[in-house]
Amino acid sequence: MGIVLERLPWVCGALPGGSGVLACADGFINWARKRSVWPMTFGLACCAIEMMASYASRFDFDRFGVFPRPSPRQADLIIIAGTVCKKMADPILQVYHQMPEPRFVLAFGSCANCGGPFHDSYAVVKGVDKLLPVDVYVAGCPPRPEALLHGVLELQKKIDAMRLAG
Amino acid sequence: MTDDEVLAKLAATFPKADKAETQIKGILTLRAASGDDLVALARWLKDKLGFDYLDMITAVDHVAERKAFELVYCFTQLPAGQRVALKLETPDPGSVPSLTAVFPSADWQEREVFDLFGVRFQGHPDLRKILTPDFLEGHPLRKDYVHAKDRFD
Repeated sequence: MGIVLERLPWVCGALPGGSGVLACADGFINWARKRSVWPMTFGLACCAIEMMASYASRFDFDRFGVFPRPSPRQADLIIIAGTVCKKMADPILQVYHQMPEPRFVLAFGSCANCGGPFHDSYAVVKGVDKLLPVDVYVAGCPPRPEALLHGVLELQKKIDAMRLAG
Repeated sequence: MTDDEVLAKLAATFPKADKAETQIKGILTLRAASGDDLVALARWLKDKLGFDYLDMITAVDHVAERKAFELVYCFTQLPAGQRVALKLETPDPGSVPSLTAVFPSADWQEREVFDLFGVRFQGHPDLRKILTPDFLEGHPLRKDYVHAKDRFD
């Protein structure tokens, strides 16, 4: 409880039978949610290599509570890392709809943002925002792992601003 | 087997076929006169000369110059690592016999050529799209292909 009491302005007091915590529901839920953003293991092209590097020890995504999940049913975030082919559009939607809400989408790299160098291709979706509501865009071709870390930190800020009501 | 030996055997067995005008770099390139003896030629290359691995099938678009496609087949003799290419010109629109009876691996490769160039293969067991999405009309690697915008553009 030490870290919890340091970081959050909650009221903690002794009650008969144990300690009680009084906190704002938004603050508590957002605190838990933003520190356990579990992304779907999902890579499409060369950007996925940078995403894998982010998970590995050098960049160590675990520090932020980001653990890749092998099942969309356990995931909060889908990182669209790479070129989205038109033929891949339906499988992406299928995976997205299997994720429990609230779910977030991070478009990683130029191809996922807008089609990138394949913008004129007959085969490539011109940005994954044609399919899914994107929360965070990360620019680069490919972006470095630090950029992905920054993207997740931005997502954490966005989660922090979520409200249960109103 | 040297290139000259292959050519000599080819001339003895298939008098209509010969060495192609344009050679692929480092690979002996043959030319089949027409689609009629394509399957027999491939079977001969496989059974008699040991070119038992079909590397690839592709096509070249010459529609603007002479209303034709040039199909390129590439065979390998695996133990020796020797390769031989075979070219065949077919008018557009037209069709060529399928090699699936000789090389089962030709199945998907011919589907790819059909999907991207629109060349039809007679006798193919399942000639349908393989790479492009179902809603895409036309054959995108043709030089006269015009892309119609879809919901992802």
